[in-house]
Amino acid sequence: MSDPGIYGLALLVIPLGASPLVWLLGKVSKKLRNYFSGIITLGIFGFSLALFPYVQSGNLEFFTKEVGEVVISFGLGPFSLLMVSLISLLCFLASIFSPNYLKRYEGNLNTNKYFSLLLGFMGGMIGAVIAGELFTMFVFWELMTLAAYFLITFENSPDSIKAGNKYFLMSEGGALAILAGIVLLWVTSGTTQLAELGAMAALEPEFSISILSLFLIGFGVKAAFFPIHSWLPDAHPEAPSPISALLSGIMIKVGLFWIIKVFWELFSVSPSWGSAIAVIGAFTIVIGGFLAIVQNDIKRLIAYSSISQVGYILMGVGIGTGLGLAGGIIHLLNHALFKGLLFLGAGIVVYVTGTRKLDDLGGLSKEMPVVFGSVIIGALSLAGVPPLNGFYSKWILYQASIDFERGFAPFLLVAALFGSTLSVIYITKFIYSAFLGEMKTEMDRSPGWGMKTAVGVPAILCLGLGIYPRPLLDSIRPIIGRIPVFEGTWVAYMAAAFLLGAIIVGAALYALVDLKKRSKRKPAFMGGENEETIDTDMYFPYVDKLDFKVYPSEIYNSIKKSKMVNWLYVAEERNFIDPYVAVSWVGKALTRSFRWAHNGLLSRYLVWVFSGLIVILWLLTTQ
Amino acid sequence: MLPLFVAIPLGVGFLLPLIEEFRERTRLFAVTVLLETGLLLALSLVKFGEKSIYRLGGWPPPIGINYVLDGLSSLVLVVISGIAFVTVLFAMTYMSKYENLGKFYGLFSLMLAGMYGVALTGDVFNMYVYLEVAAISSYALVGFNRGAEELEASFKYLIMGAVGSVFILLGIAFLYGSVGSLNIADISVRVSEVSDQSFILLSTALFIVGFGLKAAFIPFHSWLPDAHSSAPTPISAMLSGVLIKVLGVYALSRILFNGLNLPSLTPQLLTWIGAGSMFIGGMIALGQNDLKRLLAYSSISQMGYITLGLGMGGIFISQGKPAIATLALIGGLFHLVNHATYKSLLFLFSGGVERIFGTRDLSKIGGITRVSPVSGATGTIGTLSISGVPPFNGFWSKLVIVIAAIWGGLYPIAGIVLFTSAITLAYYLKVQRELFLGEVVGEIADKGKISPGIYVPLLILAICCIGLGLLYLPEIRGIVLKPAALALQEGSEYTQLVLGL
Repeated sequence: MSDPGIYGLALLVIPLGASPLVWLLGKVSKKLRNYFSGIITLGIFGFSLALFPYVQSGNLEFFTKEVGEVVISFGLGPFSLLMVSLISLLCFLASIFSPNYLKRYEGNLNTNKYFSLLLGFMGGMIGAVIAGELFTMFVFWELMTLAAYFLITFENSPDSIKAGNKYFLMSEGGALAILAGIVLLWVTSGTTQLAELGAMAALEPEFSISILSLFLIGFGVKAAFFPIHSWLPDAHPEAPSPISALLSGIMIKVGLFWIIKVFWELFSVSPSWGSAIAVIGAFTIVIGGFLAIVQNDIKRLIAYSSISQVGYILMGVGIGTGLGLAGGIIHLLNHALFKGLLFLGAGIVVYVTGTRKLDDLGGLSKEMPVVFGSVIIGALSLAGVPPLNGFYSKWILYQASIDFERGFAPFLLVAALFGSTLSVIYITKFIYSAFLGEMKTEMDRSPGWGMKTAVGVPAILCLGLGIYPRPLLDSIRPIIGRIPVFEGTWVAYMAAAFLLGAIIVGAALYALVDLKKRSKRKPAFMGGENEETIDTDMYFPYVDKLDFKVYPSEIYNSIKKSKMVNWLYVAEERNFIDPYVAVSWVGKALTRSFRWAHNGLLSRYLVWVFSGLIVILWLLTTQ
Repeated sequence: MLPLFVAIPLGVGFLLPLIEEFRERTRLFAVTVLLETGLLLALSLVKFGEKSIYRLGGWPPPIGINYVLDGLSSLVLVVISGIAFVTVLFAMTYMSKYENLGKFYGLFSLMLAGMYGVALTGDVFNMYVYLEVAAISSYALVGFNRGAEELEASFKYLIMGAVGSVFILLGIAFLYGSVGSLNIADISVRVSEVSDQSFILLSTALFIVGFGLKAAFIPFHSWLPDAHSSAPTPISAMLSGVLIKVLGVYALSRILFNGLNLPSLTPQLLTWIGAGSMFIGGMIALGQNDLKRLLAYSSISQMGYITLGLGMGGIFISQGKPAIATLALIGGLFHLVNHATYKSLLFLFSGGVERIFGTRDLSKIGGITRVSPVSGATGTIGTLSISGVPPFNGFWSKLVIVIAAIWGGLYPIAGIVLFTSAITLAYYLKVQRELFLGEVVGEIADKGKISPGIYVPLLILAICCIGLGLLYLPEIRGIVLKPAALALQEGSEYTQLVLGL
């Protein structure tokens, strides 16, 4: 492979070509189809690993073709190759996880379509990261959006369709912002090729704000930071679990990838953009974390946690120093691994029990020790416990925020630390409710080897990369090569301060929850009647009287009553912080008023015609 | 060769009802019309790209009537013929249970003759005559089912259409009074020599309102949702797919661009009317529950895109930016072609839905992808195309329009175009939710089996929706769309062609 150039295109062509093929194969034999998609995704993963040596020294251009005004091109840089390998790894895990998972749909839904879409989704994501030109990127970006839409709505339940529509509409809104940004960029600078844009000194000052904010919003919808995250907690739980793993594990990262690329690789933007992004990140960490704590749906909890973790990545890249970028990108990689793992783990839980409600789950650890072990590694990694990879990236992020020389840097640090505390809280809830305690829902099925492998592999990677993080560093070193400073500080009293801070935060939380005052009471005597199972979410936090049964997750709901954060939960429950709901509300009002004007009477319509004529005449004659 | 486009459908149109008086030969009628449209399609494809002129009776242009074939009219001819052919293919199966098919196909042919005439003629008054031929046959076709609702819609359409025609006729009268000629090319030469421009402005306003009624611009759109949803499905596809475009946008832009040389603020007016139609049409479509009504409102919105593209072209011509003007005109015409394909696809699809479920009410039906995967897939392609999702064709024409708007500095217009695109997606996602996905709801006739006669036309149009995206490629665009755009942009070329100056 002397010139890997043209082979690089195989990364894109193979999954896209295999997408219809896998459908046809599935008509012949389901088994063949499963093996085929596994082999394709694994092959792409292996190929992307083999390409790493070639991008160490610089970018790899492998395809350019002039089509009219624009030049379609594809190329690989160290960062995009990292993304490609993550995409293919997770797609591989999803495709070995899926055959078992899909068995219950067999005969009811078209599973061939599922695999075909999965490969198309993969092709779209890979195309969106290896595109060397923005219009090309946009087309693949939309392919990714579209494939994800059909995957989210795959289960065909009313909820999944609703969530899918919300996802698609918000994504399209974002995509249109991106498109406007691309066209504006093209018109003002004359090129959309990344190589040429990177060589350009700066954006046209007149348009730079509008272009950059269009890109930030557009890519931000996919990256799901607060407050344009609202599609994520709906869409991720409703998708089939392997797809949730892909959405959270890698699709939102494609959005982050482009934010990082636009703001740190292509243009030298003013540092205030970085600060703004870091602050958005900090808010996202805390709000995502708080919302995750009270979830009772196993997948929704992890989905909110994804939002919180996206905040970490944004905070890191927003800080924009070598350390910050390194922390952000490594956290991106780590999050892909452990979040993929957690969603697949949750998928197994859903698969074996048939329920997503944490309150109905419990005691699965004895039945599935391998899965439990893997999930607990993912969970601890998410919580940032050493020696796992999550700790490693979070540690770099803390360091970056300490070194950040801005007035609000301490705020970032506090947000990051607090977010970490929150992540421990919600992931403990997840682990305890699902795997420990007494078993509440019997297992209908047991996970197959494919499922176990799919959670085992990322668990091993999480552990391995935590103990020996050298490959992580090596892989990101060429990415942040542009920024020279890359070292952290270690001050002993700082560490002591952290420990004290942690204790204080813990005490504060304890006070916040205020356990003593609101301890739960159980009715002593039920009169021989059966205890009724009552959905706690239904009456919390407003009604507190029907406490017949105490759930292990109950304690988490008491945080809702705390005055300090109660507003957040109320706002979330009533969709105040959901731009989608706000826009659709305005849209409905407008639609209603327009419809009211159409009463079906011919005379009114004729009045419109004549008044239209008068207005047009007036406009034409007064000039 | 050019008169054949009018003569063939005119002849068939008179012959079929005549034969029906003696013998009811449903199959024969359908096959005849299919052959007719197939022949016309072949003819328009053969003639494509040719520039020629036919003098009726051999009289020289300013006096006699002449048929002109240039880039724009050859594009429109192909669109008319293509959609008509597919529609007839669909109607052969779909309409087979109806009575009086001789009259149906006769009126259909008459409507075709009118549209071909409008597309070809180089004479304003002749254009009016053909326009009335097409319009009157469409009034009758809308009421073809003779139910109460259909008749009401037809009556409303008739009144509004007649008002529009009166405006157009008045406009022609004023124009003839002040310019002294009815030949479009001749008008463009003489119009600048007229000292008093006020009558020309008056007739311009009358034209915009008159043709605007035919093209269903906001606020002249009110007849369209009723008419297009009440007509028999193949006719809905024809009306939304081509009729409003040929009688409305094409005729108006022919007169304004080639004849009157865009007087005063007309381009700005067209642009903003387009933007308004786009937005308001889209917003109302959001609230519709009847599939065909939703599609009809969506037509208003989509016509806005076309008008906006053409209007922007006019603005850039008057600003002296020819390259951007060409791009904007290409965008408008590209969208015209695209909308013709996906809107007729969606209307035919709605006919298939009605066949399967017996109703079009979105709240009472659902899960069509399960019942009939083929129609589900084609319908999905149609909805994605119209919502402007790449790689389907609707995206590319919207992209061209957005590029032209931003390049020319019309940022608010670009914003409205993009925002409306999101609205479009919103109401088609509603259709996705209610109709395509989900559990099967509603009673299914004949176990949901639809015959090849229904789904083959759908498949043809769906393939067009994917394939027409290729028109974006500059090589193909240069052959197909650019001559059409230049025909509008370079008025002198048209004059040269007709008058031989």
